[in-house]
Amino acid sequence: MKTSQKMIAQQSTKKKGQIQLNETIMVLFVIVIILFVGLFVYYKYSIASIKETAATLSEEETTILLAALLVLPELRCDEGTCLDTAKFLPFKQLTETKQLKYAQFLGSKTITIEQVYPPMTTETICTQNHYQQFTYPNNCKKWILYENKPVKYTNNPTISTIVSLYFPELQEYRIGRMHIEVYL
Amino acid sequence: MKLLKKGQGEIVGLLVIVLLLLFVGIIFLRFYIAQPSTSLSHSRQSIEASNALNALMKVSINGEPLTAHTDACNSDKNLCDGLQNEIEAILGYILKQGQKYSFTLSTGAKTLIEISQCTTGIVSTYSFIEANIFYDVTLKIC
Repeated sequence: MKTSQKMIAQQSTKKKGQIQLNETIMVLFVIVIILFVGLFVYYKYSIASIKETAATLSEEETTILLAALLVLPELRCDEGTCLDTAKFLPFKQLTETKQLKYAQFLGSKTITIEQVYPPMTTETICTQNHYQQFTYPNNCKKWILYENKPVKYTNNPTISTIVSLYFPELQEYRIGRMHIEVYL
Repeated sequence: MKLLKKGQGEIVGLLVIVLLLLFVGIIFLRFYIAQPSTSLSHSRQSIEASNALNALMKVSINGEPLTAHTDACNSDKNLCDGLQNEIEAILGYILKQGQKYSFTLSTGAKTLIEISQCTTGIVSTYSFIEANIFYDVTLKIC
C-alpha cells in the first residue's frame, strides 16, 4: 500500500515538473516572438529612415545645383543674374558631346526651362529649327538643357525655381521657370 | 512560503513584459515624433523669393525694364495703378497657383505700390537707382 502511494506521489511530482517545463518553454517562446517583432519593426523603421535621409540629401544636392546652374558660365548672361537663352541649344549639344564630364557633374537628371511670362500659347520644345525661324522666340516655349534618364528608377521628384531669361536677339528680358527632375 | 515565492516569480515575469513593451513603445515614439527638418524648404523658398524678385525687376514691359516704369510712377501717382496691375499679373503667372505674397515699392519714406496678401513669410529685397532716385522693392512669399 505504502509503495503504491509513494509511486503516485512520484508520478504527481513528475507531472508537475513537466507542466512547469512546458510553462517555461511557452514563456521563452513568447519572449522570443516579442523580440523578433521588435527587431522587425526596428528594421522597417531604420530602412524607412535611411530612405528618407537619401531623399533629403538628394533634395539638398538638387537645391544647390539649382542655385549653381544660375551662375554657370555656359548658361548665364554677361550681367550674371540671368540666363542667356542663346546659350541653351549650344549647352545641350555640349552636354551630349561631353556626356561623361556633364554626367559626373549633373548626374541622372533632366533639366528643362520653360517661359512663363509673357505667357505662351504653344507648348513646343525649342530646337535649332525654331531658333532659325524669324518668329523665334515666340514659336516655342521650352528648352531641354540636359537629359540623362536612367532605364530604371523608383521615384522622380522635381524641384523648380524662377529664372530671368535674356533674349539677345530682341535685347529683352522675360521670365521662365527652371525644372530639375531627379531620378532616384 | 512556497506560494509567496511563486507569486514573486510571476510579478517579476510581468515586470519583464511591461519593460519590454515600454522599450518597444519608446523606440516607436522616437521615430514617430521625429519631425522632418524645415531648413531645406526655407532655403528653397528663399531662393524662390530672391529669383522671383530679380526676374520681376528685369522683365521688359513695352520694351523697357520694370525699373524704368517706377520713375513714371514716382512722378505721376496715377501711373502707379497700371504698374501695380502689371506686377500683380506677372506675379500671378510666375508664382505657384494660390501662393500668397506681399509686394512693396518705395522710395525713402514714400510708398508707391503696396500689395499685401499676407504678413509673415520669406522676404527678399531689391534696391536700384533710377533717374538719380533710390528705390527699394520688397517681395514677401508666404
